[in-house]
Amino acid sequence: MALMNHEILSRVTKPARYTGHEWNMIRKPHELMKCKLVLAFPDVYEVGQSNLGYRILYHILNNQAHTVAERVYAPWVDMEAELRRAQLPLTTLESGTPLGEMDIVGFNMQYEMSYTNILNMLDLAQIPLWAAARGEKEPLIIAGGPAVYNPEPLADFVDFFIIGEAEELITEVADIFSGWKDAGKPGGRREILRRMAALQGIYVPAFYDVTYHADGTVAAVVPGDEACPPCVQKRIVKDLDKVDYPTRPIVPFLEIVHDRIMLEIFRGCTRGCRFCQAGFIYRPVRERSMERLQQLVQEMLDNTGYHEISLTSLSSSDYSCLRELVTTLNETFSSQGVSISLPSLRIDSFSVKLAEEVQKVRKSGLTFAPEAGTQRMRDVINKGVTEENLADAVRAAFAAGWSAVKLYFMIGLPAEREEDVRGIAALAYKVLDIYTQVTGKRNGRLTVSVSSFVPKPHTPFQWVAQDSIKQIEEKQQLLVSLLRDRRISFNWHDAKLSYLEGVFARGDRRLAKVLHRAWELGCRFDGWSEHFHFERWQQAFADNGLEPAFYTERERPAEEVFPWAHIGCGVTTAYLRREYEAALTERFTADCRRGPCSACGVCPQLDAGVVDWGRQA
Amino acid sequence: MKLRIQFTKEEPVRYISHLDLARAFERALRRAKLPLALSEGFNPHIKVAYASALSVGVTSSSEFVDIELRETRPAEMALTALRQQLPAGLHIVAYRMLETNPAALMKVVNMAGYTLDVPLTQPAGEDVLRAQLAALLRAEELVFTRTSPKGTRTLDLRPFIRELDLLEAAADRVKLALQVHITDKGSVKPQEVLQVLRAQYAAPLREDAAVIHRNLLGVLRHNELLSPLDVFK
Repeated sequence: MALMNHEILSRVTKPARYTGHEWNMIRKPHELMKCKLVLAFPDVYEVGQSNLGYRILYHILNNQAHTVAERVYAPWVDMEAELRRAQLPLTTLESGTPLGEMDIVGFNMQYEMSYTNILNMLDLAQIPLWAAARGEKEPLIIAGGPAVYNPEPLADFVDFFIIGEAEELITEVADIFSGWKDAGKPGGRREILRRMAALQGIYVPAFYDVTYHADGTVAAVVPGDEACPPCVQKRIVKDLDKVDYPTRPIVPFLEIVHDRIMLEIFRGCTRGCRFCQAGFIYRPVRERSMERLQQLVQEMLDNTGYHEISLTSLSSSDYSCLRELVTTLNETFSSQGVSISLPSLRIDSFSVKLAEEVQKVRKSGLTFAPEAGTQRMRDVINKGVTEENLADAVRAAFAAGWSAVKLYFMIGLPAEREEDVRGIAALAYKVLDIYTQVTGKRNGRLTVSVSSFVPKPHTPFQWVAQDSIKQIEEKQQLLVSLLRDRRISFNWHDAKLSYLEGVFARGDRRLAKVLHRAWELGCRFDGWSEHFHFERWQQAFADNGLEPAFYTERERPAEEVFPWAHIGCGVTTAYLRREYEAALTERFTADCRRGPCSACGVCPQLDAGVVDWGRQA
Repeated sequence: MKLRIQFTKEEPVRYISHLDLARAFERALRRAKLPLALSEGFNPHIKVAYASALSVGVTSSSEFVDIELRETRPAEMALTALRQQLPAGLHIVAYRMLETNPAALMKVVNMAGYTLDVPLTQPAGEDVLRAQLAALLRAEELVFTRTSPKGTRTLDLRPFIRELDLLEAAADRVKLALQVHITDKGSVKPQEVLQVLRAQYAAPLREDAAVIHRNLLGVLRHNELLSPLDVFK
């Protein structure tokens, strides 16, 4: 929208969302490009620009000689109204090109409740929403990201999905597209999709037929084209040190959600928390080497002017050489006024010591995630953290000078009882008591954040029934009554939103019509509470004769074929089922990085291995 | 060592806010690897001070910033390093090296000049428009209710308006020149003057679509207009 007119930009909030020109933005001459790709993010600029995956792809694609990648974010509702009034198409930030004039438009499936924004962006780009309605002139619409492990609700809108890590795959996609275009696009859309389907990690939904039983469950998903595998396995990068990392990330003018250097120290997590989809779909664990990380930090500081580095991963304390890394980074960069932040710390006093090291001067808040209120519940989810661990950690934190701690929990977990919900409040008060013991004061502050569990595909809990809205709301009310204390600030998630997230997380292709109807009824930015309209969603389900409870509130039998059965993340169903049974009998499964292999299947299926510098040393 | 820099904010960065601009400048300074002076305290920040905030949507050919370095550097070298790191649309046009501790830019700058290119809701004769401007300037008081996130406040804008001229009048738009005083009691925004012209003097202006450019930030002393680059006390 670089060419957008002044009148419109003067009327909307935060017009800099739409005008680009940030430091490190890349512009390439379109006439020299063979593959023109759009990285489209279905949320506002400040959220999308923070996404590490897109930062990586922007960098990798634009490093290709004949490929250009440009960005577009969901226009906020005021800008949407302006575009519609003026009948202007959605355009890219870099060159102001309408999306319909590019070759490939890729969407990030970061979150189920941003799917309506994908439809809305296609519509604003004046591109037909349904894949079957798009002709030879229209761009290919592709999608990837964490929610892609059940792509089915978007199957009718998307030409192909990228399953897994795209660093290597995306350049193969660009090359194949360029070759096909150079040759005069032989065979048209169908042929390019067939060529894409031959790549490992590409899923072309139109080539798969889904049949259903009379009760609505899936009977089978079978490829109708010989180019397609029965199960599309995800792609991974085996050695993170060997792939490009965005050392020249865009430095936005606006303050974005993660407005700092994001240094991905490793990928994957094998702690095996049974509720956590990320813990399964990103396996195996692969660490970057210390040497590589230090080199990346210097380059990124030089190229951005940022002075804060976030060491990101699913569980930063699990980086095998974290202590050494933090110490070295501090020694090298603190004289440059650079600070380090460590998100997602584990609950132990070691982590508190590390936090102390990185936050030498300013003690901002510290967050711990016990996830559940009782030991029994934590055993069910394989959290591997005891009340003593938490007590030790908060004691260390309070002794080191922190006075504000945040605890993160979930309700609606499988096999949850009332005592487990009450346990959350009990734990909160225990933490406050420890504060008083340590400091002799009663001015501790505690934030208790409670989200509602949503069962996700490719996890041991993919079979379970999700709590109904009513059940969740009752548990929330119970906590409201138990957490009435001026020292505690309690926040929770909208039960209706989590419920719908659950529907689309484990939904099938038939939900496309619901999604389309909800969009027609005006749903967009559903993840933003001020724009979430549950009654419109209810109407969208009713209009299509589908029942949301079918997707969420039903325990699925072991033999049921999941809508995502033909998508593989390397972890076997047999392993997930074993883990589910272990959950019900409250049995612990150790982290394979330090304990025995639990035979999840990832390493043999993907011909890959764990990269752990601590273990190899 | 302090540097006083005059810079522009041009089309590519028209829509960034003052805070955005300050962040962009800080990052450029860090990329340029200049030995920036840092404040004491828990959360050290660089010592950079601007003359006057510029609104979102407004360009400028005359902004000023003071930058403090903890070590002396040849100014030309420091400026060259900084120029290479500034985003498109931010350009350094002049600078002064300050040996002694000067008065803050915010304290010395007391006037601003703008050009306003404003679409009209309907054609208006040049004479009519001139008469409307003159009427506004003749007024002893211009009561205006300012709305901000903090609430509303009624104030008199007249003392802040120094000059208002018609530069050009076309059938569908007009070009105005405006000079305003910046005082310790505040100032007036160009859009507010346009709003008053429309609402109280019936000028057919579309102030929401005005293209505004700041062409002057100055120091007015004894009726003499000085550049902030030349005023240190």
